[in-house]
Amino acid sequence: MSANQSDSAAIAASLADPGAFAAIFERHYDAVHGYLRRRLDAARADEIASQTFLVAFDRRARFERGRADARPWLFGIATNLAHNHRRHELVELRALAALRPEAALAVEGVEARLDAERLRAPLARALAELPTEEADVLCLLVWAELSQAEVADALAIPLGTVKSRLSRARGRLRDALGLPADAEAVGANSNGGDRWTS
Amino acid sequence: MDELTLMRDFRAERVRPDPTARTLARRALEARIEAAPPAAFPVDEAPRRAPAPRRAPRHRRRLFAFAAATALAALLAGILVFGSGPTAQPAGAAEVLRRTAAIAAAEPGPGLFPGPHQLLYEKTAQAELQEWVPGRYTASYGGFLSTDPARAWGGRVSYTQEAWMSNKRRGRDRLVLGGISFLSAAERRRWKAAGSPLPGLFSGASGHAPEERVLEVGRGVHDVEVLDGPGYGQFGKLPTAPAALRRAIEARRRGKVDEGQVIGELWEILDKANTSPALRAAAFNALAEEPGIGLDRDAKDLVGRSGYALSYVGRGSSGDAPAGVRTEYIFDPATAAILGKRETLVDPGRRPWTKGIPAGTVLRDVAYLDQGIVDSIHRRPGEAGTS
Repeated sequence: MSANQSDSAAIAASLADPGAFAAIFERHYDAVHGYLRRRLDAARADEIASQTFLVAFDRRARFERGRADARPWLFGIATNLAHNHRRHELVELRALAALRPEAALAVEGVEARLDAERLRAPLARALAELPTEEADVLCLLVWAELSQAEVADALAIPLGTVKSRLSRARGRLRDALGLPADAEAVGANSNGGDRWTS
Repeated sequence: MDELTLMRDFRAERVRPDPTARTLARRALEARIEAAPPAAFPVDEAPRRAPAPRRAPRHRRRLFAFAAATALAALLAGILVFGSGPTAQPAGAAEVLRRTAAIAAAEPGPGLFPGPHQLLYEKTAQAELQEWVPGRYTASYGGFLSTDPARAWGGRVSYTQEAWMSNKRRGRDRLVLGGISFLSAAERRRWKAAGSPLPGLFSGASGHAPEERVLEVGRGVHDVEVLDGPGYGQFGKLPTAPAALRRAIEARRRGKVDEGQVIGELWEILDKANTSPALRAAAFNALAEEPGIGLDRDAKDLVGRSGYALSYVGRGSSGDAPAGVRTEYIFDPATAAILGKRETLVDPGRRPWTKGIPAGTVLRDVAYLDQGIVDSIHRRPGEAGTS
């Protein structure tokens, strides 16, 4: 197995040699697990990350071989599996939202960090209140670091739908956090090919 | 600082490698790989999907992807389901359903509609194939795959469930364990040797979700007040013409749906108490228009009540009608009453969750025992103080 072999080639090879699929696991497990860990508690993240690769292996014959990168496919599977645990995700976010921010002293140079601490609970509350389909788009974009086009691929929805859901989700977050609309200037994929950067 | 930057930093501390979880996941995959024979065709001849001119909705794409692989299985399953005995009579299902619709339409009264401060009560008997890891998970079939099978148990768990539901997210769930049976004597012995660990809800563990308040939790009993649960659903705005009802289901699903999904949604209307006779009649009539439904005129539900069973073998990958699973919807054609629902594995195929489960295994069996409207979570229909 060549380290340079594309995901698509590894998956195609695994049809004849199932062991070739291990390369997909090695390349992407940490990213998938990290994404799930952001959304769920440790035990559920462990379980679903494992399940994601089992499901992917079982469905590998249906992987579209025109796609070189398996990440959108894997994150799509992980997101769908995580839906079964959305209630727990919300419970955890709400619990975090209920925490009072620690009293923060304004120290020169750490305003941004303090801002982040202060907004942590409102952000958790806002994420808990997002409709699932909007939360999926946002989480895949920011935490899985997929481009908008890859998010569309992962969720099997049109790119325009990704854009509109993202716009709505960001608006809700800004409203909840009391941020001005022009805060959008940083990041946010403006076209299908860009990854979110900030 | 914008909202995306905040979100990027949110829970960033959680993202760190977990060698133990990784090793377990890797082992689980290796076990799956070892169990998988190589494809029967050379890789270069592996079937390719024809490029579609336009992306179809997710469920359609899944259906297409499954079509070739499952065609033979579906055919075989169809033979198993519809051709296996003298009581299997696919012909006449539509006619029976239309007659039942007429009976439903003639039911007296508007149906059961709780007032703003009332709750809907439902009692069911259930038997479900479950997998559980003591102290960690309990899941229905297909729910999860244990990475450590030695500590996981699987068996048919029988229990009664009483649910009190309001649309204010408050309610109550009371589950009482009836018994557990296993797929093999060896599995039972292994379970007994381990101290007979019960599935999570029945284990008597005191831990509970923050959206619940414990009323009674002990070995075999799980009774909680639900503080943030689902409502019972509103059906008042659904159309009562069969074709319009199907279109409403499609619209709710945001796109064309397969018949398995439609049948499942129509049954969900029928098994609720807060539906009008006109809507129930529309649901029966809409079912009569769905293709692929079989009819068994000699069915019995989980508690032994006789009725007719509509049957449908799923073809898709969705949870509504998974491939290789036959769902039977049992009803009384004389009264249009809903009796039960049973899901049976007829074609295990090579799906992960079917490993070790033989064809013919009942995966889930539900009998609807009682419904009514009550004034509090501490009342049942017919008791003093209820409506």
